[in-house]
Amino acid sequence: MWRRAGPIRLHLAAIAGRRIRPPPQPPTPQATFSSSASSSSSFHHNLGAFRDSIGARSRSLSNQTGGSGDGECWSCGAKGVFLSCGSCRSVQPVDPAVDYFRIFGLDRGYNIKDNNLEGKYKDWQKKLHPDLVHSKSEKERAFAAEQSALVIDAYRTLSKPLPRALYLLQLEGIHVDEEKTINDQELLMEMMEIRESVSDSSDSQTLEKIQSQMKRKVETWSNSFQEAFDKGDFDRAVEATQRMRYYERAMEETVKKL
Amino acid sequence: MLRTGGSRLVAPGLRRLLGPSGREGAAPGLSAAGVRAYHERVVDHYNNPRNVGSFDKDDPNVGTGLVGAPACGDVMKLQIRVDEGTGKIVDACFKTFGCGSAIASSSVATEWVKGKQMEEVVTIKNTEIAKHLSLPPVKLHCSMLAEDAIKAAVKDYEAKKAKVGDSPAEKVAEA
Repeated sequence: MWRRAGPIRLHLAAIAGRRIRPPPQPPTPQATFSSSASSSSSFHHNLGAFRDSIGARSRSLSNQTGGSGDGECWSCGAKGVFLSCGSCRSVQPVDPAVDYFRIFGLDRGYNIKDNNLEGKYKDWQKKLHPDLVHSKSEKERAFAAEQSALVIDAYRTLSKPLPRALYLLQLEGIHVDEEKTINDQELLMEMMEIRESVSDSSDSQTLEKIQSQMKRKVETWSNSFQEAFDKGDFDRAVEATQRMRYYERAMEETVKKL
Repeated sequence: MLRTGGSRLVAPGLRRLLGPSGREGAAPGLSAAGVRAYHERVVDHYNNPRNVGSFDKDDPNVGTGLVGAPACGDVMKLQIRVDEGTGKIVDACFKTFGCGSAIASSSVATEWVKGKQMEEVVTIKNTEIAKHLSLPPVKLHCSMLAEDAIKAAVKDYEAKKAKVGDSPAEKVAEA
């Protein structure tokens, strides 16, 4: 899932650039990272360079879109169209500046509870699905294929806490290198014990107990993520995503055995 | 995980890497539909992992390396038993909770470290393990994990020895 982010990261460049931050602020997060070498090695923080490289592009983007992010329909010229035209129903080309939260009409943030993501997802697919435009021009069919895929990615990313957390970090310009070996002995020792007890237990009662423990731990670390992320403490936010990944993994194992 | 992963992840070209063995055709998991599977050595180590188990981590002659890869939520423990006099690794074992590649990588690692000197095993590179198992690029981090586990085990053993060296002095101080 995280890997899918490849093409999205290009969009992100534009998004990050469009976000308006007071110029004096940018150095702050970077200072946070250099102060804690141990955990900063687990991911690359490239916010500074990121912003520099996209500055020019972001300006031209906001000119194009008139600042609102919504464009003009390529087919009928209607203003303020988003993904699909409200007047002529033509599917619009993918706008790289649109982030997943906007697709679902949400403010960018971790806590998106009770927002009927699935319903909104289905509504979009009723407008964007490639099957709906099979008789239209090749151009529009291509738009529909891309938009529809984008909405699927958006739904998959936002509907689960961990991908949503990683996506938010990505929007901040933080790439978590999940392939890097970690040495957090406390976590690893705990995980070794949990995974051993999962593999050793065969009765559903024990497995269910472990499962609910893992669920609670995922929730606890999910809350820690939100807290850390909101404060801009990205080291702790990244740590929280790692914890979530491990406890979720253990939970999956119990599911397999139950 | 092993099979579904293999079918999607192994690039056709990778299998050619194992030329010398000349046994590609015999690889299990190569279905009629032409679905690519992991290299037979991965499957072999996955099905018959060598040296699975645990040593007492408090044993002064045992070094324990515990590492993890957040990408898949893997945990890998690799332990070495060292002959104090010669500094030779006389035994090794592992316990890995992870994908087939992670299990195979750590299994291979235990085989390779046995009978070797500590300074020798810290030079084992993940690329050697990956090549031996013909791991696809997306699974390279599994071999990296094994390399890091060997290093961590040696480091743990050395740290223990350094501590033991200190402790008589501590005892004197306490007395």
